[in-house]
Amino acid sequence: MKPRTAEFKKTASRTLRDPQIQRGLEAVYSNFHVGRQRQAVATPNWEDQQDRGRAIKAHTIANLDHYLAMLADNVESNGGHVFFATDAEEANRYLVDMALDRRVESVIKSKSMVSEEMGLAREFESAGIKTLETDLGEYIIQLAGETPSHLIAPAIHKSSDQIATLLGVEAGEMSKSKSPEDLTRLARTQLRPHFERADMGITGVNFAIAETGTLVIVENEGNALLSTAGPPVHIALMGIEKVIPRLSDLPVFLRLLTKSATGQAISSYVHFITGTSQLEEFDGPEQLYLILLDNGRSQILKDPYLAQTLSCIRCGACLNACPVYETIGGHAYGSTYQGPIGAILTPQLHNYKAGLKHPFASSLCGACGEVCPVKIEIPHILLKLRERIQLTQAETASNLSLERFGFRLWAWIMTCSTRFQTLSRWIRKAQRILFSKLVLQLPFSPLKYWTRNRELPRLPPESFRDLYQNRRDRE
Amino acid sequence: MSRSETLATLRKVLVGKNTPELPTNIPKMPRFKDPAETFSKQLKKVGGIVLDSRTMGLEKCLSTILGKAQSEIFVWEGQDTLEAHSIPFSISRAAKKQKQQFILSNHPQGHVIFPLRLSTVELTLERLENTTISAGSADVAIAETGTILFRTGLNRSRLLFGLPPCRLTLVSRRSIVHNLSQAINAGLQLEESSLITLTTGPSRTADIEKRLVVGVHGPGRWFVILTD
Repeated sequence: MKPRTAEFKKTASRTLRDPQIQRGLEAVYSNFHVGRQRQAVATPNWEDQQDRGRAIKAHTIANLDHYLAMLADNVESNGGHVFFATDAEEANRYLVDMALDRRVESVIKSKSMVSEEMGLAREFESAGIKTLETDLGEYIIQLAGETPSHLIAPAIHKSSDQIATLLGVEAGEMSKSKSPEDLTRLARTQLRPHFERADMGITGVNFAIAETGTLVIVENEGNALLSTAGPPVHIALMGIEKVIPRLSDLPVFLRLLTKSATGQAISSYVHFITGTSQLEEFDGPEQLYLILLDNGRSQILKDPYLAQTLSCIRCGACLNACPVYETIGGHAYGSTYQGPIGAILTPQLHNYKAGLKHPFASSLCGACGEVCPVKIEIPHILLKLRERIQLTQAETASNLSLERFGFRLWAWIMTCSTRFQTLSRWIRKAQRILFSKLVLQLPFSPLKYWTRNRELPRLPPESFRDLYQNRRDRE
Repeated sequence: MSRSETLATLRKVLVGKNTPELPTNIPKMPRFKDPAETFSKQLKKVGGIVLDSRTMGLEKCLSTILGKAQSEIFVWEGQDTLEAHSIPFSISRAAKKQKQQFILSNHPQGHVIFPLRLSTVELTLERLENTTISAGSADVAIAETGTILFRTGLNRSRLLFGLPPCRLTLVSRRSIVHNLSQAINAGLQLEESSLITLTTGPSRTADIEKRLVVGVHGPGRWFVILTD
């Protein structure tokens, strides 16, 4: 999707006032985050596994060209085809042309954040190819004409009433048929015929093993399995950073991913796809195409510190722990990737032309860095991006000089006790005269925004020095 | 951009950068006194139903499953499934000669009596739609997570594994390994099958109001019989 991040504050204010979104967001912490905490505590060597995951990723990213070449060679020797795409546009063009050449009429798709990044479903639809999302959450979102609001729970902001309407439950039947069980059964019935008749199946890839050319897909519903069972062509989409060197590296990532994402010891399904259907096999695709998408990732590698952003395994744990995400939800970000990981990924993927407000939408509490299964230093990266954005964006130059002036003034006052005491005495007098009312709001920027919903704290009537002096005088 | 151009761009960006070593130490993974017991416990936790042929006998296990699935028919993934677990059966000579075999055993009123009388079945979409319970065997199972391994090959179908509302897997006690690493490092043999799936319990979702619902696309009832 093309990011629409300019209206971040406006959209965030809107979601803050939406009670349904707020209800949905409560579940993010109580379900996912608490589940992750339980798993982390119950796993004796959790920290060791995080370190190992981080080290494998750091090595892979530093040798990305080598492992991608190895992966491509092995996928091809297993009978698959590999396409390297510089950007989303190139990948979409390749896939739409291929689908049209093969006279593909219908496509079934399982969950893939890269496909969201590419806006692939819309491109297919524009070319007249019917594309159906089969992950339940994604199906709901597709019916609503929206984008996912969470990396792993795309429809978390929707109520069962809203979902019932989207699935076409008649108003008169609503009271009977809106339980999650009934709605899930209804969606299953609606989607079932498409698994058997589609001409092409599209999936994401969680990990790609370079040494064997195997694609690993992790899911809970079983729709990715069915998307690679019926259709004669399987398209697998992945960002170039998803490659891992060896099969023996996988167990640690599977543990980190599923425990961090949903608090499960392991997901219901972990698929290993090695090539196309073999001769004696009853079903499965005759052709496999792996799309390796760059789309700004190679630019992130330029900075050795920021390159760790590419270690992300898309578990969503940082979203579930983030007080900002939990308050404003995913749609406020206006980008494919939301929450703390989105705040560091979006500006970098778009070469600092989108998502520039996102790194500032953080309290820097550090929760995201603490829960990250591969120990990406998200809070530090946020600070680094803030610095880079402030220094490079001409539009913020006036704010920057104001900020500099403010901090210089602050330093001038704080480094001299006479100046500090005089100023605090003046403020005490001024607040007695000017701010006798309860609510203190400042009319000028930047404190105007801070005091819009908060009271400016008052200085106590006497300073510590005054109290101390008075006490000594009394004694 | 071609493959060579993309890789050249990456090489240019990465040149001169620090290259951390790939870790070689294998982290310690859990091992269990009784892997079969742990396997059952873990699978039950995620909604699986485990029956033990030692305590119930195979005939009774199979009858119980038909009762729970409200069905009278098993669709089996080939006679090799039955042979692997020493289940007695009879099948016509002509059927025996067929290479690709999906076989069906019919049990009026859900009572299973050995030997099973088998007939071959053509696996059409209609047959798949009308199959309540498919049955197969796992050559590897994982105690740590209650996981079974499914692989494609002769007499194996992704659709038969993934479409019916109920699935039965026969697991020999000998095939249960302690942990995920052991299964992945020793038991996968990736080159033999285009698809290998580690499956843990029924298909599930919590996409609607975070409420857990089983059986969204794949089987909602997940049976395992432990055999010797």
